[in-house]
Order: sequence, then C-alpha cells, then structure tokens
Amino acid sequence: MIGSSSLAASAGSDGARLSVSTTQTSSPLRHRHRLTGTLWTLLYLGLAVAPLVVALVPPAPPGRDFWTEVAVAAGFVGLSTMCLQFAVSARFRHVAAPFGIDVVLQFHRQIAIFAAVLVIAHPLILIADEPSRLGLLDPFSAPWRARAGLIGLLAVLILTLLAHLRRRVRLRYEPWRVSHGLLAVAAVAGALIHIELVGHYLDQPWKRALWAAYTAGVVGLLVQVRIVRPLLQRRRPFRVEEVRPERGRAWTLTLRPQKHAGVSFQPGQFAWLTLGRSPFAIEQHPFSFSSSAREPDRPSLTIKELGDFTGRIGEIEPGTTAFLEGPHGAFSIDRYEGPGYVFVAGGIGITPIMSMLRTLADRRDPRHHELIYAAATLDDLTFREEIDELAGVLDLDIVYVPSRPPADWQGESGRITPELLRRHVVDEWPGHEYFVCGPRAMMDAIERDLVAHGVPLDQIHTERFAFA
Amino acid sequence: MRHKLTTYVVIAAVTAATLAILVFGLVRSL
Repeated sequence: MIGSSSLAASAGSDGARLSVSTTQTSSPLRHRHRLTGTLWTLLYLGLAVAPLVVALVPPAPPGRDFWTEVAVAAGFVGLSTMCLQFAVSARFRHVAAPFGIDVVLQFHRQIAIFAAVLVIAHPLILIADEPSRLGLLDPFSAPWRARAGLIGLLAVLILTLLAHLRRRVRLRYEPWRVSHGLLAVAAVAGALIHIELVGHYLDQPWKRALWAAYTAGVVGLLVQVRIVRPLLQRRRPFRVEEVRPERGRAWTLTLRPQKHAGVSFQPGQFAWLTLGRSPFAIEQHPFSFSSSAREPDRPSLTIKELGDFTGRIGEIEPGTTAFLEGPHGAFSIDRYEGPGYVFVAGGIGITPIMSMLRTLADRRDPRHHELIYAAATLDDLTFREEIDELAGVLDLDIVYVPSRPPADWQGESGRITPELLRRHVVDEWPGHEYFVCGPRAMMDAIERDLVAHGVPLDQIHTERFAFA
Repeated sequence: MRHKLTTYVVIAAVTAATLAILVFGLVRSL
C-alpha cells in the first residue's frame, strides 16, 4: 500500500521511491491538499478584512454616519483585495499546489471584479451621501489626498476595462500584460497614498504598520516575480534540441537542460515557456509537457498552431535558448490515486494526457486505463501511432472518435456522447478517476454527462487553459 | 470540479467581505 509519505515524495519528482497501489482509492495527498487549500483560503479572507478589524480596535476616531463608514470599509477591503491580487497572480507553486494554478488565476480574474466594484463604490457612496464631496473628483481643485485616490480610481477603471475588452480592442497579450502590471501598481500606490493622507483610521503607529506591511508585501512580490525569479531562471537555461511536426497541425519542442538537472514535473503539468536569450522577456506562453515525467532532463512540450506565437513554432531553430517557469498545474494522475484512469481528450487536449500515458508506461503501471480521444479526422489524432504502441505496454483500451471518419471506419464517430461514455467507461469502470482535456464546450458537456451518469464530481478532473 | 469550487469560494468570499463591510458600517455609526 502506498503511504502518504511515499506519495508526497513522488509529487515533486518522479523518483524511484514511487510505487503504485492498485487497491487504494482515497489519497492522503488529496486530503492534505484540501487542508492546505482551506488554510490558504482562510488566510486570504483574514488578510482581506484585516483593515476593518484593525480600524475597529480602540482607540478609534469618533464614528460617522452609516454610509460614510460603509464607503470607507468598501475602500479598505477593495485596497486589501487589490494588494492580495499581487500574491494571487504571482504563480507561487506552493500556494497554488492545493488548487492548481489555473483555478488560482480564475480566482484572480473573478475576485478582481469584486475589488473593482468596492473601489468604485467608495467615492460613489461618499458622494451620494454628501453631494458636496463631488468637488473632490476635480483634479485641479481637489486636495492631494483626493488626487491620489483619483489616480488609483482611474487606474482601476482602465485596468478593469482593458482586462475585459482586450480582445475586443485587439490589444496584443504582451503590451496588455505590461499595461496590466503598471496600472495595478498605479492603482495600489494611489490608494495607499490616499489613505495615508486622509489618515482617518491611521492615527496609531501600529495601525499604520498594517498598511506598511501591505505596501512592503506588494513591493516584495514585485521584486520576487519581476527580478528574483527571472534571475533564478537565467541560471537554468534549456536549449531546443528538436522541433518535430506532429499530426493535427502540432509541433513538439524537445528541450535539453544546460548544465542543470532539468525540470521535475508531475505528468499532466505544464510550464510557461520563454524563448530567446533572456528570461526577462515579456513574451511567455503556457504549454503542457507531453513527455514522460521519468525524463526530467529531456522535457517535451507539444503545441498546436493556433495563434501568432504558436503559428511560428515550426520556425524555431534547434539550439535556440529557452527558459521554463514551472511546473504548474493540478491536472495529474499523481494527485489522484485510483484503481485506474479514464482519459478523455479532444484535439490538442491529448498533450497532458500523453505525458500521463507515457509516464504510466515507463512505470510499468499494471492498472486498467481507458483513452477516449476525439479529433476532426483520424489524421488529426496527434500521437496516434505512439498511442497504439502504448496499448501494447499498458492495459489500455483506446476509443478514437473522429468527427469526420473515413468511409470504411468501423469505430465510434461524431462526438463523445453520454451514451458513448456510459457504454465504454461509466458502467465498466465505476471507480476510475477521469481526466478530461479539450475545448471548453467539450469539457463542460462531458463533465455534465459524467455527473448525470452518477460519477462523483471529485473523480472528474479538467484542465482549462484560459490564462490570456 | 476545481473550477466549480473556485466559483463557490469567490461567492463565499464576496459574501463574507460584504457582510464585514456592512457590520463595520453599523458598528461605527452606532
């Protein structure tokens, strides 16, 4: 039987200590992630409302009317949430581990709306409560405390609009990312100066210390993310060894570490790739590892031609310097112990699943696994030949689902229907863990269909790339 | 699964923070 310590040891690196249980279905690692995830969430909530708690501690200034105090509280929580956004978006692997970085960034986007609402509500409530305050929005006549707040407010407004309208105004990702960082700094700096100059709840030095700590935290995070991390990456360069075309308009980049051991990852994880001489480059893209986790010194990333950057992957010269930030992600068999796995892939969604299949084969995994793989045609099934070979090494059943099958095709076709899932996996393999990766609509449909078939939601794992 | 949970966490955080803001307003205006 696998114990929590041996499983934990396997989490960071695919070392020889890893053993696989065929009988255990509940994972101690899963419980540990739940516990640490709950603790991080509580810490987040505590830090978000800490300014209100500190403001309430005596000696406090005389109270004012309800709406003025609500407006002040909205501003405080809006600012603390904005400060916390620097931590949430900093891609800390240990913080993200219980959740997966994809959902941490989803949280970043969703909670940003709430923070923006609070920051915008702050002056609106104050003005609605006392219309004479409208003059504080005039940058020419307003005192500096209001001007600083106005700068923060405008930065939040532009930041929010650009985040939601970037594609509509056709702003490229890289300039948007630079503007996003600069506007976030302007928003927080303006707001911090604003509360310092207003000073209403900062009459005690120790109350000031709270906001000093938030300021130090934001500055520290900026230094860590923008300077320290790229410097550390610079010491771990890779070289592109091979650029190989794959079926389905995809390319596999194989990397070789330069004077270091490479990158230890869990199968199914991904990393941010930077190409070129410097890890300080703005252009950075997340791609799944497709190689076995047993080969940290020869990682491969498989990339489909979809956009500006991915459309040029085939032009990359072998020998090009590359940097990897990661690994990241919670979409891995190493996080979810089970009697076997069902992999459901759509198109290039096969990439992380290929890493898991190759790793299982390298581990000589004895359990039963199922792969359901949909693509437009049989020729678009990336890795098809190797997957067929893996079926000889693993106890692996394969169901290809081409939406446009050849005339003599005997197998499944069309799309992955609830009936297909029930027939091939749900009825046959009730305890298996499901890994689903593909277009968003496909993942939503399959998740819904599996739940309707009675598969517990916590046995269904998806990877949703929506970082840009 | 994880994505659905995230949305619930966001809803819980927004609710908790909103309540905290209203309670703060109430306490300070009494």
